[in-house]
Amino acid sequence: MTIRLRGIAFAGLRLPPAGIVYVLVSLWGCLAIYAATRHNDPDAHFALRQVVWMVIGVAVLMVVSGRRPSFYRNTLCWWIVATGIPLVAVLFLGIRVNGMRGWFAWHGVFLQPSEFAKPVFAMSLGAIMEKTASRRRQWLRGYLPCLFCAVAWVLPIAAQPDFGTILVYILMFAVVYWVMGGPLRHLVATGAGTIPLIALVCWQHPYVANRLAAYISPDAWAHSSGWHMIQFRRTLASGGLFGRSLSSGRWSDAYLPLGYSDSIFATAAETMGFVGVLPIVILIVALVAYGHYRVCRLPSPFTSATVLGIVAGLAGQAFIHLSVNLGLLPPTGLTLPMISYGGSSLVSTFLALGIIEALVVEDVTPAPPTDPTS
Amino acid sequence: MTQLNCRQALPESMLTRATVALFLFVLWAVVITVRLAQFMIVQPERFLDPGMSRSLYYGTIPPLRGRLLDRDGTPLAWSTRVFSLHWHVPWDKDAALHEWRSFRSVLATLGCGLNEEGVLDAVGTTVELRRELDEASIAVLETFPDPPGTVELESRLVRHYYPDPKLRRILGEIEVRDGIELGVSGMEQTHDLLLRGVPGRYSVMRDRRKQWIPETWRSLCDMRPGYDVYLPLRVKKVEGVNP
Repeated sequence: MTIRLRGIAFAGLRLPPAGIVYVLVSLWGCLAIYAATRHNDPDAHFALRQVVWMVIGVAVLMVVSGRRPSFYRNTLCWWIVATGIPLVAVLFLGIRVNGMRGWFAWHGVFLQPSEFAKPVFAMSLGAIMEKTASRRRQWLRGYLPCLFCAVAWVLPIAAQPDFGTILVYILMFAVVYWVMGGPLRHLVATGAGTIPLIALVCWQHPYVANRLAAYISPDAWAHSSGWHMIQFRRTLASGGLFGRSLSSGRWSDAYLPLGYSDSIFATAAETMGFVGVLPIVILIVALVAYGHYRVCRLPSPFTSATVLGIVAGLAGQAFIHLSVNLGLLPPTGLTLPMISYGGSSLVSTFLALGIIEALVVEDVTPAPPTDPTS
Repeated sequence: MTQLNCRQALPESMLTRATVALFLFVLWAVVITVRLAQFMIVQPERFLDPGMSRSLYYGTIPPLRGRLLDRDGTPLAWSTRVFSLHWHVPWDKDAALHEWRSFRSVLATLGCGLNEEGVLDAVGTTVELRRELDEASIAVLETFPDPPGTVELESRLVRHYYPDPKLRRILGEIEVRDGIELGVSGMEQTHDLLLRGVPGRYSVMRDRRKQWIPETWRSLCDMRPGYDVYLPLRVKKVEGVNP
């Protein structure tokens, strides 16, 4: 194994420089999971499993980041088939957890296809954006193909139902479409048109309406839907400036549900304090800035839109998770990428970051001579 | 719309929009940071105090009742604290069997003969696993790695008397109310104010499983044991009576 200034090379594969940061962040996540589960899981079962998933994720990152950008453009159909079929199959063959049929389970290993579909959704959006670049402002031939692409990916997820993940997909679509030149009025009109759909969802799934009501007034729903939000506040307040030690989280141990997944930011805040979790916010902003830097230098709409979509998805999911933990949004069930417990989420995040690292190679590839007849 | 050559950089309008999107994310991060500071630095008491008041459990430490002694100091009435082990068997049979299997070996060491049939018969009830635990048994319990929250060690005070029926009537009886021994007849009642002692008070935070969080235990008022009272009589010392 040799270490070079431009990453780490191992067995013919290369871990890009940014990959080192990703590994350190996911290691920090393993530590946060251990802190959240040590009382109920003295054997560190969750943390050790997360380490295993991290190793798998790093291997995926190294393989995926070494491919040329044209590989993703040329094999996009296979990526869509490989992630789209499981997304539909899980509705029939998956297991139901907390009312949501979104996982395949096999001998204690759980896989969530909607996580792996996120980067492929970004790539398919990128392909559509490239094809419709010349007619972006047209409703029928510019906007509708993009919308149908998004609906095709979102429908199976809505059938699970997993409304939190749908939120991430919508955010990815909105950011990519608008930044790549789409008129804002198209998105606003679509948003207005989905209000009856949202009302229907609240009627069909009362727990969604309960969460919204509890978000507006948590104290009025203290013993039911608002309980989780109240425990978020107390856990955060318990942390203070420098936090309690790793072994003495109080509210996160006693009352906060799902401290290793949906509530991991609050758990980490209690043990590490304000100064310990502020770097998470900074890292997310750094990821967005890195994505902005790359997007502005990539030459093709496909690569720009794909990188933009992946960054928007990761950063958006992270900020949604933080916002839920801080009471700025109602609970969505979204995890914090690279930090929350979850093998599918971790590996798919490494996959997405690996695709970014592969595509940004175009940034430094010299452009061939342009065709004078075009 | 400008035709894009796939080898050209993005148009200026898209770069501007990308910068606006970056700015919106940064703004979101600022809002998050401000909210985080509000919870953790500026107003933590506002969010924590209501929670603490609801999660705190206030308990009483019963005082050890004073002894009744004869003129020579021979104990006539004395109290000891005894511990008993109880299990609140879960309603769910599978959960009950799972818990029972997790501490079956400890129960065997304590001499408790609860078997699987007994567990299934006792779902939803409270079972007394062992009535009076001695010090050795309590030491065994301390090696229990991770007891389920449904297993409780309960303590109570037991009053012992000098083995003489005639003296017993003179000494009187006590009643236990709210864990505190109170004299209701005889010498126990006559000297109750001296014998009773002062109960202590404590507060402790409990988690969802009603288990104490040890580092949150606070003494609110110290317990004072009762005074010993010497009675103007003399009895013979009896073998085996050794409080």
